[in-house]
Parts: sequence; structure tokens; C-alpha cells
Amino acid sequence: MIAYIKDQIGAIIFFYSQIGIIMVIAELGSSLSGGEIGASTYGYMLLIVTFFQIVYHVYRYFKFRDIYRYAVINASETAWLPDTPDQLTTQLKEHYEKQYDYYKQELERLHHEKKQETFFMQQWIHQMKTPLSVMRLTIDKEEPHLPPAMKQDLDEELDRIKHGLQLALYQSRLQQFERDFHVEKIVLADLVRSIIQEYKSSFIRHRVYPKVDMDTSLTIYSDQKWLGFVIEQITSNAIKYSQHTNDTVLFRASIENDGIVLAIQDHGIGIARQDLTRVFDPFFTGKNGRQVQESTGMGLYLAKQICDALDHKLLVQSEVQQGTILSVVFDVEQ
Amino acid sequence: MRRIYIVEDDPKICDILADFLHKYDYDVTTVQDFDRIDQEFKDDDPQLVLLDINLPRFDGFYWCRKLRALSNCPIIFISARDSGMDQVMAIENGADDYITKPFQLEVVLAKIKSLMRRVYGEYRNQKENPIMDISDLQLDTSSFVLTFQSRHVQLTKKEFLLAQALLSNIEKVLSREYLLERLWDDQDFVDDNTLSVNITRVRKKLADIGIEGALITIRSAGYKLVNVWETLQ
Repeated sequence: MIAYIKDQIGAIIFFYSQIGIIMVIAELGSSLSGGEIGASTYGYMLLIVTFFQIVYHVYRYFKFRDIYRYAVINASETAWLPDTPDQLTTQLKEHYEKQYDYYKQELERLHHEKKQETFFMQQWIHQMKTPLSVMRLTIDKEEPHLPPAMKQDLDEELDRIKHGLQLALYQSRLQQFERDFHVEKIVLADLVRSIIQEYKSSFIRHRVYPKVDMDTSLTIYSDQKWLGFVIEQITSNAIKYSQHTNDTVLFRASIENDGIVLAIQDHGIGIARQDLTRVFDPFFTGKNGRQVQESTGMGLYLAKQICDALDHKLLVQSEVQQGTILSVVFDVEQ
Repeated sequence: MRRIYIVEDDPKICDILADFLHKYDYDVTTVQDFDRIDQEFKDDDPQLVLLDINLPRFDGFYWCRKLRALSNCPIIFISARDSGMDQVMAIENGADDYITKPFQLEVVLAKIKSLMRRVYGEYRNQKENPIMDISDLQLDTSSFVLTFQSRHVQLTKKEFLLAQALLSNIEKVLSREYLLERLWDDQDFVDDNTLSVNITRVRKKLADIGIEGALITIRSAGYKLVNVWETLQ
């Protein structure tokens, strides 16, 4: 109430002052013309009142100008508001600042929690790698006493666990607020070869064989670790969806108009036309996911996210029963 | 006798590594007290250290710096952390190499061997005889020559790898997968046909030096080398 009156006091005074002026003019006008108020007097009243009205509003405009003209240029920047001219806006500003502080604290808390969670997740994944190593080494050690079929089965399951951990690790890394990209010059052929080595036993077990067709001097700019993960996902899919075909997975690199293209081609079951647009969606497994086990629908989704973050294009072409080609396109001018 | 000091907080990995390295004639000591790693290092005086990063109390980087202050002994990190940053840290803290978990024993061995060679020069174990000899059939592992009753035949690298695998597992069935893994190296990705071709060639070369019918194909299982030449003596 008091604040309202404080705010409106100017308007009240102005209102009565105008009435007063009208009264004075009417009094003067009537006394001059003997009780009659002429049209010219009315005109004069209007003129005077309009003049004061303008003066009053100009004054008010300058008082409030900052508030009206204040526009948020960068939403994330600051919660600053200009000094307020009256009680109402002061109230609003206080309220707004309280809210802002509250949200900011909430956000910081969440940030902190997320950091903790990410940290825990990554620690945990790394810890899980130790028992995985122990199992792998134990199997290697006991190989002479194991039935070959059993060793193969165990190897396969361990590969799955490893692959799953890898997915979880990169998913968690990708969610981090500050991502650790180190873009450097990479010899594409070296990276591809090292990944093929990594998948050596997987290739052999699934009876598909890699073929590399690329210029060994071809270099691109990317992050070795993240790009490596992308190529791993594609390779793992290529093996999975063309297993026991006794065919090749072809790794080819070429220079096209829009950059250097790394194409990884398998001759497997291919992807149904209606699924093609959705292979990069999270958790999408499509028809093949129901045919081949262990599809998570996460590998290509993450690969796509990473390529977006690194500014590479990721494209897919496929014919059912003919095979699939996934291509990573690197910009030349970097 | 070269001594290797293993600093790893997982006892099973320690044991497996120690067993494995024993087989290759390395003397192995493992960490006893994680607070006195530098002291143990001094006492054991190893020629090479395998060091984990995640250790109780102080991390591997800390100990690596400590050991570097004592000696130039080669140090290899073994860790589950695979980020480029950790590898950079490792090298900056004085490590010579870095292996990520889960690792293969062959990789560890290869890295150890190459570091030992670089630091201590060519070193051939007295026990490591370059000639494999099974009832007079001899395979020279350095020149890839197969000899039987003074007849020689030269093998290619792939044929040699096959012959070596078969001879070390005589009378045992070896799966195609196992043999493919043996043949496959980082320059050359071997497929099924190449394996078949090379098996045929090994057969032929065995025949050239007078051994027939030793290399048997076991349908849907793999191949086996049967010692038929003992009776030919």
C-alpha cells in the first residue's frame, strides 16, 4: 500500500495540478469574458494541459528509459538489471534476482553431481578392466588345457564385455561438460591398421577378413582417440553383420570433392530401407538387431555424436543382402 | 638372468605376469610394500619395471619420478586408463612405454624384449636354442630352414610360422582360427584361402625332404602334425 502510494504520488500530484490549472484558467477566462467561457479558452486549456502532459511523460520516460530499453543481449551472461526508478520495479528486480540466484545454485549443484557421477562412472569402468584382464590372461595361460570351442566362447564373451565397457566409457565421456578433444594430424592408414589389429581375433572368429586400400601417406586432422572409437564401432558392426560370409570388410580412403572419405564396406546382411534413416538414433536396433544378438543401438549413435562434435560427416549406404558402407568424411580445409 | 620388478596392486595380474615371464627365463620380483617401492627397487636392482598407475597411497606417476631419480632402468606403465593425457603424463614422468588393460601377454613380452634390446644390447638367452628338433626333424628358427636326414628345404615366413606352431603342438589338433592368429601380422591380414594354400605348401615341403602324410586335415576341426618320421630313421 505504502509502496503503491509512493509510486503513484507523482501521478496524483500531476492530476491535481492539472485540475488546478484548468480551474485557474476557467476562473480567469470567465472573469475576463464576463461569465462566459469561449471556445478559445477551451482551446487554451487543452493546449496548456497537453503541454504539461508532454512534460510529465518526457520526465517519466527518462526516469524509466533504462528499464524499457534494457534488452538481454546474451541470455547466459548475467542477471544484471539497471537501477530501478520506482518501488514496483524494485520489487520485481529483487524477486528476479532471488530466483536467479536460486537457479544458479541449483545448476551448480547439478553440475557438481553430474561431475561426480561421470567421475565415478569412469573410475568404475577402469576398475572393471582389471578383472577383464585377469580373465583374459587366465584363458591365455590355460589355453593348452581348454577345449578350443570353450576358449572361443569365453573369448567372445570377454570381447563383448570389453566392447560394452568401451561404449559406456565413451558415452560417459561424451556427456562431460568439458570434452577433451585434441585435434592433430593423423596418418589414416596407421590408425585403421591399428584398429584392425585390435579386432584381429574377432575377424578370424567371425570368418570375415579385412582388406585395406588406401594411400599410406594420406593424413587427416582429427582426435586420434575419439576417431579411433568411431572406426572401432563401424568395424565391429561390419564384422557382426557379415559374419561367416568368408567375405572381406574393405577399408578404403579416397580424396573426393568435399574432402577425404574413409569408407568401410562389408558384404553382409545390409540394412532395411525403412531403417536406414534411423541407424544413428539412440537405442535403435531395427530389423537386424532382432536377427543378430548384442545390438545395443548405441554404437552408431555415439559414432554420429562424436562425428558431429569433431565436424566430420558420417554417412550410411546399404542394400539388403548386398552389404553396408559407412563413410566418414573429413574436411580438407582445416 | 634379467630381473623384472612388477608393481601392480591386483595380485592375480601379478601372478599371471610373473608366471608368464618366468617361462621366458626372466627373474621376477613383485611388490611387497606399496610404501617402500623405491627401497624395494634398490634392493632388487631389476633391469626393467612394470608399473601400474592406480596404486594404494601414491600413484604410479609419483613412483615413476622417484625411480627415475635413482636409475635409468626402463619402466613400462600398465594401466586401464587409455586416455592420451595419461599416456603423455606417463612418458613425461619418465616412463619408456605404456600398455593399456586389458592387454595380451604377447604384447607385454614384445615390449619388454624390445626395451631390453635397446637398453642392454642384443641378448640371447643361453637356453634359447634356435633349432627346434623333434626326432631328427629340425627347424631353424633364425633361418627358417627345415632339415631331415641331411635334406634341407627353405620355408617362407608364413610356412615357417605354420611349421613352428605345428611342431610345438605335435599330435595336437590346431584349429584354423589358432593358425590364422599365428599367421596374421600387422602388414598382412591372412584369410582362409591363404591358410589353405600355405598348409598345402608346408605339406609339399615336408614331402620334399622325405616326410609324407604327417600333416593331417581334421574335418571341421583343423590340422594335426603326426610324427610319422620317427619310424623312417
